[in-house]
Amino acid sequence: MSNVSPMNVARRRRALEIGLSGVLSGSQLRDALALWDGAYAQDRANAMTDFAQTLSAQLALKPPQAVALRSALFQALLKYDVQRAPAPTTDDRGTEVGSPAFLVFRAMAGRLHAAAEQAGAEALRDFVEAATSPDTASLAGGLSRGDFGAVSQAEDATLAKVLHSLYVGLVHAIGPVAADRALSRAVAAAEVLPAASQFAPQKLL
Amino acid sequence: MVPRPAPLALVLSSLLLPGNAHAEGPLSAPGDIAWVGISAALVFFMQAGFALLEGGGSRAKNSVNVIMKNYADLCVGALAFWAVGFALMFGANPSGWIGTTGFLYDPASGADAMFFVFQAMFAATAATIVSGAVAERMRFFPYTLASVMVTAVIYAVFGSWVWGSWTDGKGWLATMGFTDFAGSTVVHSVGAWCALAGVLVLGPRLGRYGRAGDVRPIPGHNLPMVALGGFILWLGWFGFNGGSTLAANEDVGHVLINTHLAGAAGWVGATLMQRLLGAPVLMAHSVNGAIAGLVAITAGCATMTTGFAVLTGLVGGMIMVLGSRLLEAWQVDDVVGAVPVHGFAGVWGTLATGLFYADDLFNAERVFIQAVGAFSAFLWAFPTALLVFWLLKKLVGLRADTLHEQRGLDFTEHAEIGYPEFQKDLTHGGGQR
Repeated sequence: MSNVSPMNVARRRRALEIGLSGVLSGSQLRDALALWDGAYAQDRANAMTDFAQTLSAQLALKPPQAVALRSALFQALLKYDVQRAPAPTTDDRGTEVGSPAFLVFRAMAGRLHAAAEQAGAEALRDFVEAATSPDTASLAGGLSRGDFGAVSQAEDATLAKVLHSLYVGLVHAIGPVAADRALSRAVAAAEVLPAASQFAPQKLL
Repeated sequence: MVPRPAPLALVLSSLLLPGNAHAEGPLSAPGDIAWVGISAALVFFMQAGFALLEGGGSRAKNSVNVIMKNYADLCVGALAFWAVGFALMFGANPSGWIGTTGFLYDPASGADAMFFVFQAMFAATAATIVSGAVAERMRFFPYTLASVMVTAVIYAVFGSWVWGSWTDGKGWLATMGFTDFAGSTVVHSVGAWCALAGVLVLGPRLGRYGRAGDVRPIPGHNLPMVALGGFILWLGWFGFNGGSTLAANEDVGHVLINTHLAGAAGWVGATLMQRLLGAPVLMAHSVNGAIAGLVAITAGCATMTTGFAVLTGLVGGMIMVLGSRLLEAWQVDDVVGAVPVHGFAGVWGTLATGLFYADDLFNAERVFIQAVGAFSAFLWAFPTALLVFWLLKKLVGLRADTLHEQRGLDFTEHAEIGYPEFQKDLTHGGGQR
């Protein structure tokens, strides 16, 4: 039996998705998540080594590819499984939704929002108040929930402005030093996304 | 008993008349010129100390900008002082309020030239005090304009009141008997009041204070740089105070022992005060304490006995710590503590010069004159600088916007970053994909 809670299982699935997206193609990623959902998520969510071996065999990966897969898998688990993962960016079929710029933006914005949320209700309120600007008006209530779908069709420059507003909000909420750290982590998290190969997170800074 | 070399104004009064006065003045002998030249170099080196102290005390993303401002103070300040400031400060001054000759200064002798070089370093020191206070949110170009105003006008005009007697006349404060041997007030307090005006017009850095008034620490990125900057400033002070004798004689020894021990006592005072307040003993605060001790003794280093010099430095360091807390309580964001170090300690040192004047201890009249001088510096420098910064704010814009604070002023003002190896990933467009 798995001793991982349903919420943590969902977070772990998201971590796997992020980690494997860097080394697998779209169809391979869907197969990997299907394998996870069918054979591991319910009962064997901690059997990560076995999952990596089975997946490598199923995808007929060569040894260097298998090593890269294991490395990406465990790095993602370390990076995301212990913290709140960004909101899902895939549809029901596991396909990425939105432009690369938006996917990168959403990962970074989610991190900044999470940093405010983790600091407590008062910090989250300060974050929302200070981040509210003409640039973030379109987010409306999504700003407090960490839902940034309202700007999924926005241009890159608009996304950068929104992200800056979120940064300003975070600086007011948790202070400049902690906000800079959160921004740094947000960049690092976004850099492992497949979308980052098409749109560098630094373009939003 | 300590020998008492004449305060700088009195020393300078022996140089009044070109031709005959220079032949017997303190800058007439080769040894004097050599000593003042070395002292000028030491004071020049203080700019490196300020650069390290202020650069290290700022966040990495703003360090280049801070150091550029130090360079601007030295370079633009030197030109402004040469063109205008020296004339206002040391030109013929029959009224006692402002010098009127010597614009675009062309020295008539080597002694004149050496004196100018030494004084130009002082002017740059006054200006560069501002850069640390306004760090991390003030744009470079308006800062440069402000630096010109400080060196050419604000510092120079007040200086003429105290030291303005190089060619003719005497400043009104000097006439009253105001004593400021090397510039606790003339250089340090004036610079600090300009800095205070700057930070008030600018406002605090983004997120420095929380909604409830809580102070968010924003530590500097390189504390070893801060420590090294403190050591270099201390070294430079031997030229700053020692060179102000304008003569290579034994008086220098008394000036230097007072200077050194006051700096040491300032460090002890700041460290003790932090312990007394139950606060962690911060290295940066203790370094600032040493500098506060040096600032405090600058006015009276030639007119105090050594024991009182130690006391002056000790109290100066303590005042610096208390002053820093006061500014935090008022939500005045002075990044490197320039105002408590150079302003509050400068005022204390100026008063202490009257209190502890050798052979004339605790003379109320002397203390009153010292208070008049210190207060006059504030009354002149603070509102004038406030006006300068306010005008710059209205005319050219003073403050970097929030996006620039996020990106760091190194990138937004200079298109370069101090530490590309580890800052690249957080620099706008730095991904280069």
